[in-house]
Amino acid sequence: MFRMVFIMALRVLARHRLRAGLTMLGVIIGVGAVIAMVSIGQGAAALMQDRISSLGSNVIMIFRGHSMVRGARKVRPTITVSDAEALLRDVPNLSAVAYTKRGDIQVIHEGKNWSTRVAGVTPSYFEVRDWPFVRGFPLNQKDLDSAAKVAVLGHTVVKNLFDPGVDPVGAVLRLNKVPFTVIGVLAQKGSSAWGNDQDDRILIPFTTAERKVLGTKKIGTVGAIFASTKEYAQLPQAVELITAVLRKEHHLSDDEEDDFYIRTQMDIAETRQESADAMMFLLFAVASISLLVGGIGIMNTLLVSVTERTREIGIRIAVGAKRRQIMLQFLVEAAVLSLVGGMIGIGVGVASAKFTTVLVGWPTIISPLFLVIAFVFSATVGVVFGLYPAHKASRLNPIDALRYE
Amino acid sequence: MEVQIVCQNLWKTYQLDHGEVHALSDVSLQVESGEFVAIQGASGSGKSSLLNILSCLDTPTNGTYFLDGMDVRGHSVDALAEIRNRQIGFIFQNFNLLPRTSSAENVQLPLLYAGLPHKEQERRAIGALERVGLLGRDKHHSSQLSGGQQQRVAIARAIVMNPSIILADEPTGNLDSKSGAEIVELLRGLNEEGITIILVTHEPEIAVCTKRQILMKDGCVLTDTTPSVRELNTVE
Repeated sequence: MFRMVFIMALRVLARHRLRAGLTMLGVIIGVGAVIAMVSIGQGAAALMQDRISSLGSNVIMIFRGHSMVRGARKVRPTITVSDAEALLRDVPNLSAVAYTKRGDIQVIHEGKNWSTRVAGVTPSYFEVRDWPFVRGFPLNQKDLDSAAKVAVLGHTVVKNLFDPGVDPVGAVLRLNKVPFTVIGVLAQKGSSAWGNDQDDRILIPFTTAERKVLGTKKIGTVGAIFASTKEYAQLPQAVELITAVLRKEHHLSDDEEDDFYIRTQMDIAETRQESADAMMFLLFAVASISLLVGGIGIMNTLLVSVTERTREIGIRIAVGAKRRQIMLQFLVEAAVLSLVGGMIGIGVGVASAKFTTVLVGWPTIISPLFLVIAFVFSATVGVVFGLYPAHKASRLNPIDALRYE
Repeated sequence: MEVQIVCQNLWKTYQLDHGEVHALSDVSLQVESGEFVAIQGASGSGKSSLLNILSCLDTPTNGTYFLDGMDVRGHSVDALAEIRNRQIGFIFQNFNLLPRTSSAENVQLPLLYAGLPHKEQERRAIGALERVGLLGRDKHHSSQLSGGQQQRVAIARAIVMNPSIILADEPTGNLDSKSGAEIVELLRGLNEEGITIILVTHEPEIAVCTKRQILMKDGCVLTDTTPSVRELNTVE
């Protein structure tokens, strides 16, 4: 019975190919658009996730903030080496504390010139940022204490200053005319959560940067403090304690605002999650609307089909078709329309996602689970919107239907 | 002979804007198993309304209809569909074959709704086509067949479930006289095999081929060549 009904449905659709195709178009576009968008969205989410975790693990960043001086907003170098030392001493649960100071600089190596960013860091910086080396070694405490003229290079810097295959370790670079010896090369990290190239930098000991390269007016101030906790869940508590310790160090009274600000990986992840949620909601809305439109298309086509085939339905009822048998026939037609439409839509969606990757370079992730959901959803739409026409067909009066011209 | 159809005081009334119209008024009728009956009458005489009720496509406004001793009144739509499927074969003036569908598939239609396995459907459809003299035409579509052949396909479809009754509505109305005569001959053959046949016609030459003629006018039976039933009509 079912096999025959299925064959009948295919035959009817094959007879009206153009109509079936146009009817399916709604479902194809709906499913295709949703799959393409979800693939691109998931690709972007995964990329963002990568960037967030490229920061290190459980990282807390403390930047200098604005302080209000007689009502005027002013940037003051408000965090210092002693702040960092206080944090390490007074805040439990911090596994490491590092501080940095950055500046832009020209680097010269054997006639090659590259404008990059130099950062003076402490040895624990590599631990906090969870940043492995591909060659050589990180800076150590001795380098820091002696303000050694040694440097660790990021991937982009190596690419721009050295020929492929040349080992930079041991080479001598000039930073603002000061010669530095390369002692290590960092693994590639890619873009940060803010989109800048984390590999385009040179890391040197903090003390060296402050005294010999960046020319700081006031010794002991830092650009940022990086700290990390052992557990992700310890982040909120650590932020509270850090705030308290820094306010005490800076002698801020209760009515004064913080003169620093703190960002954690958690904040970034939350912001990211919020925009991902908004994106998913939009996708859901688009998917619902397009499948609704597709479903109405199916309903319309089937209603026309029921009217056209009134006499055929009359014949079927006369020779003994029960109501559910007539319904089944039209429901199968609706299901075939939406399933075939859904399958083509999946093909179109996957193809456009791949095409986007090739054309624009956006990463896309095609989730098999989502394909299954899209497929089931489109089939459901077909059956739901096929119900009314099928019901209408099954309720035809056979005498009138047989007379219908 | 066993009584197969008993109609008592059938009324079919339509409510129209300007009042009631009685398509059938107080029709009583008995048909025994194996009879060959022609119902005649002008258009509007109620013969189609009667046939629709006999075929379980319609229900009377009033009165009772017993088919093989079973009161049809009160049956659900699906139960009536099953009666049509198993006990009644239909033949129409305009053949009513499915377009763009082969003869065999047209004949299989009642078998499909009876839920028979596909192989059995095919076997019985070929058998029925053979009985109406269309062996080897099972793959032909109706557009490739002559009117007479199309009506034979319809007859094959009517007999494929081995019904006890065939109801034919002007079966020769769309055919030339030669094809018409062949169809009547085919029906007569089926009647001789024991199938009850009731046909509606307005052609006297077709009606005389049958064993019994009923003439209808204004929703009533005017004459009936079976005396017993005529008396039944006049007595009540």
